[in-house]
Amino acid sequence: MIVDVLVMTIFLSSTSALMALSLTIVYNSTRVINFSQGEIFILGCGMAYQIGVVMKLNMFVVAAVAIPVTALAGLLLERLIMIPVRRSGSPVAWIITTLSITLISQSLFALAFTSAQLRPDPLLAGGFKINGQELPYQILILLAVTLVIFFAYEIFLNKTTFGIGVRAAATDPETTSTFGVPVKLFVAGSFMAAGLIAGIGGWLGSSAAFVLPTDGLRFTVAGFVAMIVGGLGSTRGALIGGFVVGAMDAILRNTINPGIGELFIAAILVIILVFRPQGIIGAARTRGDA
Amino acid sequence: MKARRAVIALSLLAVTLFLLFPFFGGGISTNTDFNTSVLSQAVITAVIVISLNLVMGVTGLLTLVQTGMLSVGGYALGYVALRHEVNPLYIIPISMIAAAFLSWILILISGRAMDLYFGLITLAFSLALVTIAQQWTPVTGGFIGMNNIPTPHVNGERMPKVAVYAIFLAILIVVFIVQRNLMLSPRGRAMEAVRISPATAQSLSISPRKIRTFAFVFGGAIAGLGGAMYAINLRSISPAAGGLSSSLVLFIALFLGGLGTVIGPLIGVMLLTITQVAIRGQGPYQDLILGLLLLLSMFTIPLGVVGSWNKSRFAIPRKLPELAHEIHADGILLEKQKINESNRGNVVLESDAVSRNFGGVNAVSDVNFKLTAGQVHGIIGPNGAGKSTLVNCLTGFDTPNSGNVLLRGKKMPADPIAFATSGVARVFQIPHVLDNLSVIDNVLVGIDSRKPTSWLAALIRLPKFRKAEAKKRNEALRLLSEAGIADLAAKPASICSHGQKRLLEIVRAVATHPDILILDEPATGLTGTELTMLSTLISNLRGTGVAVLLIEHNVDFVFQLSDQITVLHLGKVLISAAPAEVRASKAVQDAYLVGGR
Repeated sequence: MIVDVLVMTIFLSSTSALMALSLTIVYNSTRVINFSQGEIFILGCGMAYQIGVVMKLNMFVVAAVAIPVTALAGLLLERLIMIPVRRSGSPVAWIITTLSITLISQSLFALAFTSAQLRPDPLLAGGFKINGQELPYQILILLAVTLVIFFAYEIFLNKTTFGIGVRAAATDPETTSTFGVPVKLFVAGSFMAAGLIAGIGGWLGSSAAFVLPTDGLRFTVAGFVAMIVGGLGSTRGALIGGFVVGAMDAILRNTINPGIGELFIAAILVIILVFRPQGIIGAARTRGDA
Repeated sequence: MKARRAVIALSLLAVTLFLLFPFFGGGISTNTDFNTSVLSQAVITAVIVISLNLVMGVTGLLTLVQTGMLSVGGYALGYVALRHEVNPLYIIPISMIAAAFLSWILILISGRAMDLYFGLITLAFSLALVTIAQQWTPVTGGFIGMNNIPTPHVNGERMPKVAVYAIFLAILIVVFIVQRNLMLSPRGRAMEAVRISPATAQSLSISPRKIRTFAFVFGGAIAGLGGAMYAINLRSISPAAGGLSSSLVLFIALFLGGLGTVIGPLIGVMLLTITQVAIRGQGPYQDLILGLLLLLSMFTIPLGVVGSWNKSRFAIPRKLPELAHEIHADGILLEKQKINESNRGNVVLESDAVSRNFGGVNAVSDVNFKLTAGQVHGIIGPNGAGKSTLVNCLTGFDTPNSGNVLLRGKKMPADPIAFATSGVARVFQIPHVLDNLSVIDNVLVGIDSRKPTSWLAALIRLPKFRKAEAKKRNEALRLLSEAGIADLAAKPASICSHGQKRLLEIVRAVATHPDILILDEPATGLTGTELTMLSTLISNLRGTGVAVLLIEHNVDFVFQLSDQITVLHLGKVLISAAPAEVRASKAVQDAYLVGGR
């Protein structure tokens, strides 16, 4: 029982945190919440499954294919989402572009991945034995990779010139572009980074749990909740939000019933947005009429 | 101009023919029942898309909970219909009230959260509503939802599908007319003003909070109506109806037709339905084709069919009424004079020891200042002297740290709307015209602020209401021609030059018939001709007894127009006197006119 809850907690926390991070990266550079981000998650696990399980190639091939493809998919999303948004000038056009990409991806995945469940092989089979139950190595790898990604991104943002440029572009794209910073290139780069992170999350996460080809939106929503709870636009917020929400969901789901978990999350989301819109650690300015 | 009517009439005819298929037999398929159920669904979608259009397209509230309101309406109907022997059609008002009530609660607790945050709150609510529907099994039927909702009946006999469809169609027609009339009314203009610029709306006595609440609750009621129709049509309702993926259809239809346009929702739903029917039976490719078409249309017509048409070279502008009378030099202004004559010479607006600091910097300290009716009062001072901060305090846009602002001797709260409704009109430093509205509609928003009309009267467009609207248009045109920009009346305000926007904003301020007009750097960026036009306008206004406060960098302009000048320096009043005296003052010369250091 305890091991089950632990596995579930790590799975939900890590995938939510990674999805929250990739949503945050895109949000910071474009003010767009990319509803289709979860589709790259599915792309990651779908490719790992197809190459590793169906074609029986080893995991280095999986990595060599999946990593560049998910990053390129991120770039493709940038083109598909941002061109209509820039052309229409409507502050709500992103809803329709991201949702239509979700629709397209869901049907493409349903056609491409005929298997009901996408469960790639773990990087390392087996696990620790605790009270006769197994804690898979894979779930620990997922946890470790999640933490490494967050750590690396945080260093990138705060310690490199490039990262400072990204932060400047996020704060005021117009002014930043006058300093010769290629803002549009940064936007494309942030979509690629977000794609890569979501793809890795999908690949490593799905070998620890059951994922369906049409589950993309579910993971987007999980990441969205984590992002809001942690604080919109904050990297650390995404990590903390992911773990807080993931742990609560896993514990409630296993101790009471699955429905209570979802109800609780929805309630938390509403309460946070209404009473503490800056999230647990965020400090964003969110209110005001002008 | 006839061409515009013809295009609208043709579009409406196309929609009508499309919707009347079931009555002609034939149509999409030889199976009449199939036609009826496809079109019933289309009619229901159209009703909900119209509600989304009012909330999001017109008022600019990003909402993702419209399908949630649909489920509330549907569940309310199902709940009552399954427990009581009532004709489901009679339960529809309950659905509308339930959805409107929930909308009201939602907008009440989401407080002042704006834009994206409001959208996120609605998304969270939407997720919560779906979860509640899934979990609250005793009431909602859990994951399965409610089934076997009775069909509407007359005298104990079930109504045939086509009859129910006819009722739905009638409802859609009413909802469409309501939407159209609302959008063409003062309330509709206020909704657009709130979407384009809340600050501008406030300066024109429009409360963004009230307008948003109205639009959201009104839209909620219509979505609830759509939900009730949905439940009657399918005879069931389940949690899936409220999900994010079912919102997609609404967004597709609205964006395809044209966000914020009158006829867009109908066109969008029609195109969507035709597409859906054309690709039915394609199995898993169905969603793929729909998604690709949608994405393609976002690339080619990002503003939707109607929106992109209106921006294209095929667009046909709305016809304007001819001017009813010859324009008199200052006809409108003279009407105003009678009212203000008695007031002349009184102090109307004053600041009593007002101070405002920002993090230790005293932008304005201890300023005493008096504005008199029938005078032009100039405020000059170098950058950073505190001019804009003082103006913000004097119009309720900023709160002084100490001191009071008195309007006709009465202490005022820091609320721009309170100032606006008490006859203070403000023209901003950066022109605040309502870009997407036409030039004449901009002026009409100003006129609306002093001639309130009930929105219910607007919905039925009584002859009295139409007459009043025509009179307003006429007045707006006359005002525009006084400022020399009447030829722009039908154009969108966004295409105006900087100077034209400035004049338009002043005309709009004048249209509110203010007692006090506050102009924040109006001369900046104007051409010589426009400057002359502006100074004529200002002296005409003074002639009618209006108190004009003129904040300006153009010193010559201020000295030429003002009866009194106040010089601000480092947040303090250096001198407040007649122009000649100010010009002679040693202190002013030292601080500003010559040395400046």
